[in-house]
Amino acid sequence: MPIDWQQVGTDVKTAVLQVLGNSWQTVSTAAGPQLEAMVSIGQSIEQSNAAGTLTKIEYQSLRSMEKNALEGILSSYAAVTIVVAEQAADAAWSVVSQALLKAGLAFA
Amino acid sequence: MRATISPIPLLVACAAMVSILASCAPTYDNIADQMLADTQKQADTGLLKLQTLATTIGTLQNSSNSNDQKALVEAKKQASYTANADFYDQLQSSISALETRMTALSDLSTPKLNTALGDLEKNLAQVRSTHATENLLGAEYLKASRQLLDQQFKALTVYELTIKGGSKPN
Repeated sequence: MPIDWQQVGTDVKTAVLQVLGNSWQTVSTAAGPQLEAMVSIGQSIEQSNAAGTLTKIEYQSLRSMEKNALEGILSSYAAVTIVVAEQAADAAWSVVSQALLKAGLAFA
Repeated sequence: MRATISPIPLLVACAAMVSILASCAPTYDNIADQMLADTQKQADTGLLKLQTLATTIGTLQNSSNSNDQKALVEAKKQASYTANADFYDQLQSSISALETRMTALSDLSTPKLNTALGDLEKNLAQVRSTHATENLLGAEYLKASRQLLDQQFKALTVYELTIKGGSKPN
């Protein structure tokens, strides 16, 4: 049965959304096209395998690499969401410390 | 008469909480950013060279011309694992240095970054191990490997650019 790659793309996005939740909004602009690219690479690997242009070892290696790459990409974006939260806290801290200064309190 | 609650203790408590998170925000490191770009280039250049050799081998294999046969022997020699062991050693060394630099100043995102860098290392080791087993790699395998590694480097670049975008002057 042929693989419906469009459906695979939708399912990948749904799975990622379930894990990242609201953080998805922070990274969707950059991460969305990357997930689409990953699905496209996966499709291309399957086509190459079907065409016999990959050895069995090469195919197994690429399957393993796909999994590692996806985990690595999602971990990078998870790190991005943390940095964004830290930067937001940084900005909030500037406002709070200014308010404290105005109130005559110094908070290091 | 209603008691007036001073907002100051609340503000101080809020400030303490926010300051804990804010003090963790990483500062942009242009050396790490440059190392990331250099390592990606190093990986891509090496794999692209192997991909070109694999395509050449594929073309020459169908020729019976004696010059083509000599060129085929040379291309196979250049594409062999032994001829490229240095490339893998140097790339592994670059990744280790990159990992050290990017995670030197720990913040809350470091564990995720460690996973991302670890997965990059795993995939480079995967290409190396496949090359060592097969001795010659196919063009399609190398193309897909480059594409996967490029996506991993790209996500790490987004991380660096995010830090750069919100970097504190320091």
